[in-house]
Amino acid sequence: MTTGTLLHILSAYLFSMGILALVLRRNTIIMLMGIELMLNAVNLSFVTFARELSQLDGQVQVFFIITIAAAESAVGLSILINVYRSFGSIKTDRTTVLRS
Amino acid sequence: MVDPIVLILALVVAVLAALTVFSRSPISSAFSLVIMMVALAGIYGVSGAHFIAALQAIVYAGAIMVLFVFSIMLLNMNDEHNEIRFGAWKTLVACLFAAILLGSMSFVFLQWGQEQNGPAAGTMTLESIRLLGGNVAAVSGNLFSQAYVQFEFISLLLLVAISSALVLAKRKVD
Repeated sequence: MTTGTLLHILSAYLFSMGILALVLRRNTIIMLMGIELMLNAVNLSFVTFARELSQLDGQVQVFFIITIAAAESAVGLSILINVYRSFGSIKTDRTTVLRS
Repeated sequence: MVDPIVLILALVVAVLAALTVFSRSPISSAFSLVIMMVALAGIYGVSGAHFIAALQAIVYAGAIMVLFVFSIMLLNMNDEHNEIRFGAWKTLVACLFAAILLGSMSFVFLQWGQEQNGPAAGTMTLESIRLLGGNVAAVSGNLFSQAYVQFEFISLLLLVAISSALVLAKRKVD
């Protein structure tokens, strides 16, 4: 097994862990962390492919993905704070109506 | 074969990712995620992606995770128990499906690794990157020549995200 294969398997593992966080947890902040885990898995896969194929385009794409992740978490956390203010909780089983 | 530093960092990342998903309190999940991102930045640095390693440490471990930790502290979730959503049986089924996903992706990646036998496809080997002036110079040259339209659109997206976060935070809830 080479280093690249190890990093690919690690990225697959991180992606499955992100999906588990989305499916298993009912705390919305941990679900957002699962999304961050999946984005990190894709970043790791991009960097490893860029190194193995001797190209730089993967690293440029990782730059864009990190920027989009920053924007996504800023908007998501502000939505979450609004949800907490109107429902008093951020668990997914408490927030059952879309408009009040 | 496998670089020992990469192996150690990969083990750290794997354990901390599992801790992020399965630990009980959200603050310990957030701190495991911070350390996991720092270890991932180390992996990027060892892999030769120095610019991405710096971005990972600054933006992810620095900015995004500070935002997460501050929202956890702001929301004050001490009285809530953050248990797993389902019972033991459904949790086991979900873990089984995640394991199937992991196995199939690992199979694809292992097969891809065995097919790579000849010389590498691109021209940006470590030696040519060094001749270009290092990883940061090479990546930013690529960024501002081939991908500059996407770069401008990304800056527009960041502006929209900042203003929408401001609007959402200032909105009065009745």
